[in-house]
Amino acid sequence: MPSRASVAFRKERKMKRRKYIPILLILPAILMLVSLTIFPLVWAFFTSLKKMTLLDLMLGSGRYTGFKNYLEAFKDPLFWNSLKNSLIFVGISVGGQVGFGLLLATILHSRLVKAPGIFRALFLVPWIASSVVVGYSWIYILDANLGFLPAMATQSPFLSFLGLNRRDWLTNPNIVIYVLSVINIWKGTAFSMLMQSAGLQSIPRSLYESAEVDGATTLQKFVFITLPLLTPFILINLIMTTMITFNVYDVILVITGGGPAHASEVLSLFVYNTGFSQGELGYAAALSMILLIVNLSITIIYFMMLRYGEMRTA
Amino acid sequence: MRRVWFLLLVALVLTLIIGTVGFAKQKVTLKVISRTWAKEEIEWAWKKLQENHPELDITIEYHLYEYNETRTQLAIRLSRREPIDVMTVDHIWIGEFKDMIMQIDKSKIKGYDDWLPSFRALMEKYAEKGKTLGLYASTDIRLIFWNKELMKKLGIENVKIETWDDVKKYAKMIKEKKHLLPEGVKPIGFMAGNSEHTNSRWYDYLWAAGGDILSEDETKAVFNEEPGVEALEFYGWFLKNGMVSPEDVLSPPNGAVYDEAFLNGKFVISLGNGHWLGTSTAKNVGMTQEEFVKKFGAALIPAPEGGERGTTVAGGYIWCISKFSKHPDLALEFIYYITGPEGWNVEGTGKSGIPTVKSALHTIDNLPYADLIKEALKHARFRPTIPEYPKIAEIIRDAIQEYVMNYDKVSAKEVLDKAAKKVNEILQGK
Repeated sequence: MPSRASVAFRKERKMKRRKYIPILLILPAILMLVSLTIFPLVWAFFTSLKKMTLLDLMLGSGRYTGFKNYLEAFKDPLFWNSLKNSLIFVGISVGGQVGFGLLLATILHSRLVKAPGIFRALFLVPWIASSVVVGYSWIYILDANLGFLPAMATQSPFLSFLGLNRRDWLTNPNIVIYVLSVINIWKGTAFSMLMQSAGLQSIPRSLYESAEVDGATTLQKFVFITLPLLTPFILINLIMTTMITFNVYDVILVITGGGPAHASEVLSLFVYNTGFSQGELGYAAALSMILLIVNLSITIIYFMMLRYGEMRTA
Repeated sequence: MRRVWFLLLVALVLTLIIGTVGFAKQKVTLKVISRTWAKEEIEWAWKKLQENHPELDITIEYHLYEYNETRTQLAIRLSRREPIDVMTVDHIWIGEFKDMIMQIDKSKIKGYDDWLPSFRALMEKYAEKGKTLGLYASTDIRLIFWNKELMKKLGIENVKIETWDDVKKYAKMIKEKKHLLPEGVKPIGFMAGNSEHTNSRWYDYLWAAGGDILSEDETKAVFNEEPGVEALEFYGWFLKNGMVSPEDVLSPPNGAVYDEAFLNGKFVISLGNGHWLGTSTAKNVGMTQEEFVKKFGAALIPAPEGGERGTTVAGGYIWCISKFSKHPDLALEFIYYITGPEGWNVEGTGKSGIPTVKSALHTIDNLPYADLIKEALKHARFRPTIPEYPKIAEIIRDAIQEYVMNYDKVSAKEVLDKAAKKVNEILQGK
């Protein structure tokens, strides 16, 4: 029969072993995070401090130039142009995606729609379609020569009445970035709809039933029950959509390539072109670090808003 | 007795081991980095290599990428000194990759003189005397095309385009009878979208006028000199005379979309398309080569008074052996199969484009306008091969687009001078 001391010792050893289990379980995730996120980030930062082209990379001749790449970016009119385009693109896209996402989620959650699952699946199609497919689809809608909208617009009095009788959707430097933002709203709204549908489903039905007993109207229920309880979901949605949209470049690359004359070049596309077309790796790394800072700053603001909201609710 | 059996068994096992080792084929793996379209060619050359070396167990480890990705992958892998044997290098990248390429003794290449002289010159551009950087696989050329059916509708037949004035004359005739054309069809089209095709198709006219992109030593921009201004004003003439609008030419994001628009009858004359218009592009829109020839006419790129007719940009890839290759002799044999004349005469080798070896030129005889293609090959020119070229190309493209968008506000000279200044700063390393 084991003594009391040995039982206690075994228990202690078991407890100690158990303490390591959580660490072991999260170790793969930590390793993935370090190897796929932190290491490339640190690597990109060091690259951004170098004058390095593809040729330098091969010859191992990249040299440290401190923050020169960053200073060059601030002097580069193309950088400011792409930042301005990014802010317009992100502002319109995020506003549109979150707004329409909320609208669709609310409609699908209401009793008005029969078989909401079918509609939800249909709305997901643009989101899951590849960017190349989406890009070419829009080329065949808007291109001045091949697009059906410009072809129809010249013949349809209704489209003329709506002001859609133009052919320069993708070539007018004053409107092209707005057109691309609308395309991005169309592509990305499903993501917001999904997030907010999840939020809506988490609101207990009993709250609405109580409000109905008290004689609340549909609008009142939406303003006083739905919106406050959905706010955390909306804010998380805003954060995620902003981060995703800042990094969108593929659809633009396919549809306009950033043109004409950089009119639709957003910051992420500018990074891509600088790094992969022009082979300026150091400069592209500096630009991507700036993109990261812009993205982080906006995310921090959102988080502060979220916290402020939580404090107010408390 | 048992001992004898044991010895016999040992002898048998030893014989088997020695036999297996002795007769086993030596394993060789060639590492190839190339473009996605090269799969069929690689597979064919691999088969040839195996047939030729029954004593070897050859494996080809190939990695195929899209355009930009190929360049980046090559740079990353070469920076790690990865033992790549064969690599496909776009000819405009050779200045960038020249130090990573193993130069090949020309005497080692069977029938080296079979390659067309201008392509040989490019292959040897950065090589020591008697050597070459690699072997040119195939190329492409540009011609001017017109829609014969639409011309016929307007009563214009027997079209003959040789000079820039001829193009203007036909454009005027088309504009005068524009009411007979379907809605939205433009007399003239050219590529001005955000793609390298905008550059390469404009260079044809720059060269036709006697100009060039950079000075001969590639240290100074010269595209802003008189021929360049003339070439851009040639585009401007059609815009100013309402024969095409900026959105028509700026809209196509790449050459393929522009080519498709032309095949769909959106322009009566197209100032420049690749020879593939009558083959792969026509096929994509469901047109046979015979239908294409029936519907579309072609001529060499026209020239202004005193210029050179037929000038065309020539594209293509050079198959090279990397400096870190472990099997350079086998790699040379492999790239010879891919690029040399042999593959052009056999079905199913996956070869496409225009051969750059004289003895294989007859294989394009069945292509639409083969005679014109062969004639244009004599006037083929190359874009600069310096590492700065991608940046320079973007600046020139911006200039073309700026002029197209503001043809009534800015002059061709102004935009080209501005671009040349930027290019010179890059070339001077500022």
